[in-house]
Amino acid sequence: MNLRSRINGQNYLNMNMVINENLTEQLKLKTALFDTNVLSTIKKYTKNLDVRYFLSTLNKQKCSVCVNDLIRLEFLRDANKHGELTERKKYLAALCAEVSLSISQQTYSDAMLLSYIHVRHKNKGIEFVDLMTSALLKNYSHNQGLVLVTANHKDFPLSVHDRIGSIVLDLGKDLATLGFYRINMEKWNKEVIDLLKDETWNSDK
Amino acid sequence: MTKLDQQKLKKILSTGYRKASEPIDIDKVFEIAEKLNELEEQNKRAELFEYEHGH
Repeated sequence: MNLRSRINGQNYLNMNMVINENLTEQLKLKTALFDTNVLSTIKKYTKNLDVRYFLSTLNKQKCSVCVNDLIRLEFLRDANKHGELTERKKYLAALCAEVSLSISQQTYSDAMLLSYIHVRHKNKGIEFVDLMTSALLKNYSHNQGLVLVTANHKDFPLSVHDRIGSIVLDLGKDLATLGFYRINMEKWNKEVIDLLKDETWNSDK
Repeated sequence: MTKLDQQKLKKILSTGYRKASEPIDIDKVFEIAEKLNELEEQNKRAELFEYEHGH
């Protein structure tokens, strides 16, 4: 379905992205944590109307965009020369807001616990940065204020996360499906209780 | 490490993110991204040229 919208004084013709009202409402006054793959997609497709519309929607909902230190590091390390590093830093500074998501001892403990939960569910090969990102989401889950936006759905399984919505960006040759994730504390607590009950995991042997 | 070295290091590691209350300047983001993409492309071509002719 093609949409014709007007946001911030601009017309968007031939745009394919649809973002449902429920998701839009859930992003209002919240903070979107962009995964590295989202940063790379926006960087690559600067002429794409779906990408522009997506960012405009976040602006319209007064939804801040941020990254955590590990995602920042993951994005910056792809620079091959000093000039590229400088431009990557400028790009992050223009796109992301200064929101402090400090990694505490609790974040490490939660990431460790989550790795055990994933092993029990046979979710193999989840990246270190993604474990830490989930743990950060958990630490900021108390007011549902932080929402992860990622194209990597495998590393944020629904055993502990909720996917509150998704959008598809039509990038021409490619399609990017972005999921919006939060930690569900009920699921998290259930998984921890199951882990404690499991004799394989709480045995001293 | 001297105080000057610490200041230099701080400058290298600085982020300079915008304030959370400010909306994203989408045109500015795209402008920087396009410059970055161009720079990466140039560097890639230069590396390839060096690889092909430098040995």
